Amino acid sequence: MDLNPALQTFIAECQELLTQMEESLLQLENDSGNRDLLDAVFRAAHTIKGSAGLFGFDPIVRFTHQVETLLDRLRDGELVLSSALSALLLRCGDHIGALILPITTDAPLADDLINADAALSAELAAIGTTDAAAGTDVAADLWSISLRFGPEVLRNGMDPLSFIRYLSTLGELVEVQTRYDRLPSFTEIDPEACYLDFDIRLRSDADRATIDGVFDFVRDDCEILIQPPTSHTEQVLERIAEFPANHTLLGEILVASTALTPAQLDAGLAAQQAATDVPGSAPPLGEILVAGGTVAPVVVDAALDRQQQLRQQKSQDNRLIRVDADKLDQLITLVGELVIAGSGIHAGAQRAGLSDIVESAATLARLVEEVRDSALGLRMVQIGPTFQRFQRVVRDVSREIGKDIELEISGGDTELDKTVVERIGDPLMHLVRNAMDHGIEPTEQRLAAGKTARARVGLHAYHDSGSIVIEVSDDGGGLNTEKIRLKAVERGLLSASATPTTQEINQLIFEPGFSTADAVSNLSGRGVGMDVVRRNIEALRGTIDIDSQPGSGTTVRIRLPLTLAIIDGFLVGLGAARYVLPLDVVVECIELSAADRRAVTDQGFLNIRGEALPVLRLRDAFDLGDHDCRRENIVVVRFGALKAGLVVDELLGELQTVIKPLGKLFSFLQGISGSTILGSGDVALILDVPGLIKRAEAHRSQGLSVA
Amino acid sequence: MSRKAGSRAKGPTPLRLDGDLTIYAVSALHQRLLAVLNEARPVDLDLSEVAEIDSAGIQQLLLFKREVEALGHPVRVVAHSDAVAEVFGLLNLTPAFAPPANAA
Amino acid sequence: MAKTILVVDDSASLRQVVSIALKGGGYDVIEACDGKDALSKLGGQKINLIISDVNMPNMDGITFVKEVKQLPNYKFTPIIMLTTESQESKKQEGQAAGAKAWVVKPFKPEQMLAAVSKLVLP
Repeated sequence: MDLNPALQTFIAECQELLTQMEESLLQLENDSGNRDLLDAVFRAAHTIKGSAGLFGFDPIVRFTHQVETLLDRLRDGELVLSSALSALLLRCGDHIGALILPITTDAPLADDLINADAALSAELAAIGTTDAAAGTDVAADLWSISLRFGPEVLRNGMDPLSFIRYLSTLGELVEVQTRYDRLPSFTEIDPEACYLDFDIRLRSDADRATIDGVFDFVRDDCEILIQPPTSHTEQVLERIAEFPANHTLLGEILVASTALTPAQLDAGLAAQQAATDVPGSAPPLGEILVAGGTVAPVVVDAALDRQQQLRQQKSQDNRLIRVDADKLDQLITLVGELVIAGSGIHAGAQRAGLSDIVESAATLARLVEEVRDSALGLRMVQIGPTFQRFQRVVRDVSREIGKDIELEISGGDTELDKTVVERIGDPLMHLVRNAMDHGIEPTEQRLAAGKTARARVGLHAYHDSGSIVIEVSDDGGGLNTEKIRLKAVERGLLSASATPTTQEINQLIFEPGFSTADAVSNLSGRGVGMDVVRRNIEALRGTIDIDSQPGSGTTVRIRLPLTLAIIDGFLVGLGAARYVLPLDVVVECIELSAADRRAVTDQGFLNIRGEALPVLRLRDAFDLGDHDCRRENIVVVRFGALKAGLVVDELLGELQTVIKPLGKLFSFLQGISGSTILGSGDVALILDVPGLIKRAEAHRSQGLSVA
Repeated sequence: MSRKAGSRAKGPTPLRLDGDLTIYAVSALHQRLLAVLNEARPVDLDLSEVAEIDSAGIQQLLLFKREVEALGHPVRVVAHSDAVAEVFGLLNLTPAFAPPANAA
Repeated sequence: MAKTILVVDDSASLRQVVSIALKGGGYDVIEACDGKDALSKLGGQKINLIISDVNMPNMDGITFVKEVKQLPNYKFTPIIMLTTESQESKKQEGQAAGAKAWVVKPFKPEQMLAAVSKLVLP
């Protein structure tokens, strides 16, 4: 039997677990009460011990067992994780790692390793005694074992004494009461038969199965009653509370929580079965177990509660149905049409001056709106699971590249369209890897800059003005703006004389021409594939920008629409043509005075309450020519940090509408992101606000340079 | 096994058991104890030469003690071997077989 | 005085492994390769425990156990049968014959030592 492949797995697994253990221990230093972290440390030690046992690596098993015991006592609250204890556990983790190393070479343990083992074991043991002494006289911490031996045990060679002796090897026999009241009179006794009973109190760390296993060979001939210590009962209750949902049989819960051994369960079920044979209803398993003294009533109650809870949960699970995404899309399209039809009725009623119909139409509109919201809600999923996948990525990559990086996640409960969630994974992966590879400096450099050795990469999601914002941030060195500028000039992306802002320079890394391998190695990160990331984001009607502070880090901000299907819009008119602006981007509407009109024409911007607002005349932008309408209006729109004014003829008010994407034929169109059909049956074009804002900015710079 | 009977007129009957007090020998032990029981006198048990004792042997000693005491006579262990001491210790029987404090 | 265990199995390697484990645990060990061999080796010496395989040439484990139960000096000796998962009926047969303890093959040496310790401590 060649165990080598499995051995490799074991070693890799151990190293992984040790890392995990270390991470959790370090986190515990700041969050000492965190039960999950402590459990994680315990699980790591426990798993290592288990696997090592399989391979027969006794030194690892022996040592890890001691660590596990200590951790168990921490979990029981018997000990508190002091910084000294934490340090000891970290050293223990290192030591386990050291014990694993020789396995690869098959060499015997080196002397210094053996010495270290002994020293650490002694330290662990010392913690055991000093603190254990406090709790020794608590009777509740004792196993209570009652034994009533059958007559045949002695003849079978099963001496009760030997079992009691063996028990004494599992712990300390605190009390043994030998009862012989079943002994018949001297003349009646069968000297070879057994009549002895024993009541035993045992202090032991052994688990239920081990204690139970002592009596495997006399189980059939003997009445055995084992009651675990109270502390054990508490553990059992805890395990019951944490019992996972995949099984809901009482017996399974009790066995899994170690309240019951499988053999005891079988016996209980057999008793139940036997009772069923008698006409009448069989007693519940819980009752049988309690009556037999096998399980404490409180444990059965807890298990029954948990069972009830799980069943409810399960029936809730059963209430979930899987729906074909296409059906959902169809529903949403139909709801969209309904929205349009509803506005049609409303508009028609208003034109005809039918006030009661207008009222009904308003009610209808409200209901349809609710239907729309729930229909859209069906498509919404949380981004959390997508974020969580990166925990592993960050851990693996940081080890691979030899940097100490932790991932910080927030806003995992932010919901967005399923399609968006599905398609955001790759761009995020790219950004996270980039941040780790290039954003985070090597450890020495960090320390030299007075930063913590452990670097941070963050994934954050939140809602902001009708969009979802996802940020990928790091606390690394930031972008080297000057190098980017030089590179951009060299690539012909920037004229040498231009004086762009830092923000503008940083934004250049998303330009297609910028992505070269050379750029990666020369610049402090970023480069490869950033244009691809931007394309992916833009395909989702999103935008991407980058914020960087030299020396303190970089944040890439992705802004995505909540949904791809329906928008709350704001209708504007240019002559006879109708355009829709997404309502969330509209800040305010201002009537344009004659003076303002001149300013707009001359300078491309407008002074609004002391703020220079870049302004774009949509008539110019769409080449609609001039027309002699008496007045014009400005719609102030905002996207992210940018604001601009769009000059339109008429303001026509709010509406809800379904976005119909433009066909490929129109993909070259600038400033338009889609179309929609109005209640009147007219077509309106949906304006691409980010694109327009960019144009307004460009327009303003032109205006400035002319001026 | 041998028994050294002291003067019947005064003092308890000394009973010295030796060898193995195990299930293999328990029937013989039973017969011997029955004989002593029938004497209905206090008994001083000398277990210093017992090489091995098991539950069957313990049962006989417990039964013997119970029956003799039921007749109003004390039974005490005046000496025991390591093997006996180990089992008495394990089963917490030492106090039951200890010599009465006033008789020490 | 160390306790003596008789190990009866036709596999020399198994006897060897068990023997090493038991000796390591502080027991004296006598080995026998089948039931017949085992009976001949009992002699009159004190045996504290017998470990016996079921399937063996010459005399199988069940017959051996029945024979042992007839011997005045050994009839109360605890006996551990070595069974396999598939031999449930054999296990029951062995128990009926008087071998109340068992260890399921394949076993680890420590498991054997634990089973033995429950019945006889060294």
